[in-house]
Amino acid sequence: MSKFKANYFERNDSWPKIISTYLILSFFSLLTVFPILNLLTVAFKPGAGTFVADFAGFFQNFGIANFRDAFAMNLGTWIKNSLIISTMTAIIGVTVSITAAYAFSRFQFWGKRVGIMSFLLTQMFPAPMLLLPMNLILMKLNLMNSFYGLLIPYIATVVPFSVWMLKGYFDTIPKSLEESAYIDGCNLVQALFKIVLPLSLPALAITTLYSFMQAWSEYVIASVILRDPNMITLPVGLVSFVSSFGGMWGVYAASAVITSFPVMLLFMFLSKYLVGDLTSGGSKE
Amino acid sequence: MKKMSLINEICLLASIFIVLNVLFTTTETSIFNAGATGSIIATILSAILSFSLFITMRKKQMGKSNTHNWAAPYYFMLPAVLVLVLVVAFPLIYGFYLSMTNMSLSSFRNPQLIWFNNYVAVFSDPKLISTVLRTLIWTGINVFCHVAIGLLLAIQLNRRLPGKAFFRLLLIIPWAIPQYVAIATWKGMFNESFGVINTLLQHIGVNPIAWLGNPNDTFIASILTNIWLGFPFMMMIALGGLQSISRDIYEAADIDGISAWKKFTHITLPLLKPVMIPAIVLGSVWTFNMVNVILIFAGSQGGDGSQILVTQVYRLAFSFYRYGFAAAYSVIIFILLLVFSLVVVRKSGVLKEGEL
Amino acid sequence: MYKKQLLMALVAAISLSACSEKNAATATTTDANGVTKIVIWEQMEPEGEKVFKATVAQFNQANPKIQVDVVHYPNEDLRTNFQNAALTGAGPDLVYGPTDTIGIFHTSDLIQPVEGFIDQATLASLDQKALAAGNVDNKTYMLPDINGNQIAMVYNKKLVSTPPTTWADFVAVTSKLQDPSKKKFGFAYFEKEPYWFVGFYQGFGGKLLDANNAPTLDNPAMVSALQFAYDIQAKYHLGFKGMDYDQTHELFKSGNIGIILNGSWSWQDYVKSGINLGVAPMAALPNGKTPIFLSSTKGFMINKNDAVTAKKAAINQFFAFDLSPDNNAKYAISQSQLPTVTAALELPSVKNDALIQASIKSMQYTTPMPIAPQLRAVWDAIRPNLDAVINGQMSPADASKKIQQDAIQGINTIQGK
Repeated sequence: MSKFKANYFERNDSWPKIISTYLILSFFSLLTVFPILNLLTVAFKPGAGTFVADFAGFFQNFGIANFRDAFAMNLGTWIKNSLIISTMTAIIGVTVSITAAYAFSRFQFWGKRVGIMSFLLTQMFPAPMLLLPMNLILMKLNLMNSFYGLLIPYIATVVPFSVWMLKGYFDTIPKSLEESAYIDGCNLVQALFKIVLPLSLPALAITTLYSFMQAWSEYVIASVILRDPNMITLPVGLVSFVSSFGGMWGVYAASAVITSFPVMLLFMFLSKYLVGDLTSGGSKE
Repeated sequence: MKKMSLINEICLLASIFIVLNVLFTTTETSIFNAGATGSIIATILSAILSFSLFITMRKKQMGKSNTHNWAAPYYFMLPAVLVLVLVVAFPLIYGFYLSMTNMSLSSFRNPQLIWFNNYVAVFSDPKLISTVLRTLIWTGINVFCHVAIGLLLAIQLNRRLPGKAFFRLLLIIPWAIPQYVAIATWKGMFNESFGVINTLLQHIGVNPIAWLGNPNDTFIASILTNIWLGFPFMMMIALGGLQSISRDIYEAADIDGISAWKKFTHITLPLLKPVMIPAIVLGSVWTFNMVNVILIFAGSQGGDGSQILVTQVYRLAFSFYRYGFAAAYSVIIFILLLVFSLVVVRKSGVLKEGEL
Repeated sequence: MYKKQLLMALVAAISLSACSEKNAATATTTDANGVTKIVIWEQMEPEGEKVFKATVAQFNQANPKIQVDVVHYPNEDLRTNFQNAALTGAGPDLVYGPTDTIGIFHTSDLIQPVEGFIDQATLASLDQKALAAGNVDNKTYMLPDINGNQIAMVYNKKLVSTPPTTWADFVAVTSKLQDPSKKKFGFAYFEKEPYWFVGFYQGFGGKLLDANNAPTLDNPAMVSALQFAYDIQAKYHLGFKGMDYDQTHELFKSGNIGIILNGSWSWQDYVKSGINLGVAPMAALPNGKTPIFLSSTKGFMINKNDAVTAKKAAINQFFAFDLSPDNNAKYAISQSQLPTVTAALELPSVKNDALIQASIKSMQYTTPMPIAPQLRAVWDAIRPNLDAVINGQMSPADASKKIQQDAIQGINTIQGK
């Protein structure tokens, strides 16, 4: 019995502790899943008219018509557009943040304190008031109705958090590791890539996921910039299913379910980096 | 020496802001109404100013990045700073400018400068205090619950546990679902007659509550929904942060016979600080400015009784078209958050050098 | 060494601004191939949007030199986005919406009058009263294509064979059908929304705004109307708690509600769901008067920016096609509202459409919606207080006073006092 326990669980956990762990996890999982069940009942009910769950009628009304209708209404194009934007945001945003975070973490330089606080500043101004100046600036730079016009604000949105997160993570990695690398003849960039980054995989995973997610679910800026019906992204497309009074809730719910898939997939893929068994934080002296 | 560099830092950044502002204006929307010639003159002046500051600072360069190119950090930062300044500096300045005009429906194309009148109006609004209080309560409860629940779950998931990948996947759902959809779903769940929550309450013998029917219950419903929306994010960050804590420390603590609670408060919490403090600061800022939940629950036309500061901004700007007034509110929000983050960051020492 | 970097940065910045000046030249009216592009932003209901887009596609095919693009936005977003875009000198050429947006766009000086832009022939072919509904300061700002948007009493003929006309009848008929345990209700409607409530208020004799667009909301009519709204559930035991649009719409569609109050935009939906639909003016209130709802036209407004004026000819060509009797009728039928083209009213497709004929009848019990931007403040004032009264948290007398106060405050806010 104890051999079974030792194989699968922590050495020091007693059975009551293990059971309570499962209970806590199950309770919260139930909490997160329950509203989704709501969503699923609406998604699988062809012609659903309200956004209120209908558990009783789930099996009678089951049908995938909503999913079919969603794709007929251009959902595929929206998915493609969103994928492009989100991937680019993630790649560029994280790359840009890595270099900045490294500078903040490893160097003492003039402007550092103000610099890092100013990253924080950018998050503080309420979003509703950014609409008008955003319109102005994008108009002047002729970036309306283009993916670049969307990319630039998105990258600006994800960089502050990524920089702070990566810096915080870099701070936990002792400098002694890089110093030994310098002695061995590495230069700055190599030290960054070969030593610091591999040890920061969890932070990288978080910031990649976060950047992707921000671009994937952003509505306001996308609705302002993208005017061409073939260029709009998922959040903007979703809203077109809902009108001021009533809406095609079934199709809306089906699209929402489809929208969640890529994020879940990405998370599944990245979580092994998030919780990887690394010999992290240790220079085993 | 410390005071000098702070002033210089501020001066330089201010002049950079001015330069960029001028660069992005034309005669129509020029903030200082100086026209094209004025813009060019201002550009040159700011360039000279920042140039001379740079030269002064070179003489007082601090830090001992001896083995490396001293310009390296600036190169590293350049891409990030460029993008941010481009997209954020201008809206911020524009927001400050707007707050000093009377831009509204009747003065839409040609707003006039009225300096601080908007601010006077904001501070003499009797409802300001209740709105600020409500915002503080909203932020405090939400962030506390996010962090507490997130930490709790992260610690559970940090153990060896069969099936934890499955739980991890389920627990990230609130974050993965499009926010709009999640909020609409919860709104449906809070429906007075047909919503699931009231149905469940009735099963356990509690009277159904008119969730969306009055400001207080709407507020409570919004908080509950936002907690659901926000804890996976904190859980994820805590999980990542826990990875950086080596197991050896815990095992050493076990050998010394330290209790689980002490392990938590003396090992886990301090070592999580560099990762959690940024998350908490940013999380607080985001929650403070979170428009969507209250907007969808109370509607942009909802009464004053359920608004927080940022939804008030939204209402003023898009229901009443008082852009100038809304901008003044926004500036106040900005200052509040700025002070808050400065205090938290200073106190937690996250910006101090040389910890490990 | 870094002097060079700084210089480079300055040069880059200045060239950036220079190049932005070039690109920000006003959008050309014709693109490289000599095709004129017309952009329309709309917030149409899905069914109407389908019909409109089909018309647009036909036009685009027949006129290769003109390209019309239609972009859909939700109602609130449309307003905000148009304001922001038009302010920066861009924005669509035409924006589609109901008459209440005229007040807002006109006060912010974003739209231009229809006279002098649209051909006389097109203007003359429209119902002049519908055209006049878009008048502000003696100029018309909207080119309407449908007239209605009104709320009427809609009943399920299977459950209610003849529509009640007196209040006593109404209560009798609906109470018989009321069976909450089986989720069946005799009567339900979107109780918390002022656009519905106004019908009762005006039925009791109240008016929203006076000649100077000041609110006139604190009066016995308001108190009676609020009391009536409260009584529907409390005294007559009709409806259910928390009635909102989607719920009532859905329940009626599935045949669980006998009588509902809903706007003409929704009637087609009910017919398509297989309901044997009847439409009639709402039964009389307890005081014997019929409720008077609001009606409005919906149509196209013209952006004031210079680039749009250059496209006058192309836009007129488009409207000559879109507002032809046939096309206008098609759109009107999809929305169950009156076409504005007078010739369209005579078409057999319109004359034989039961819903449009019902629409015409119910229009007799409506007043046109005021265009003033102050109306916004009135809605905002009514909504939370109506809510409180229905929940039993405020007395109708108190609420009536508060509504007037809130409306005045709201108007002051809009006007920047």
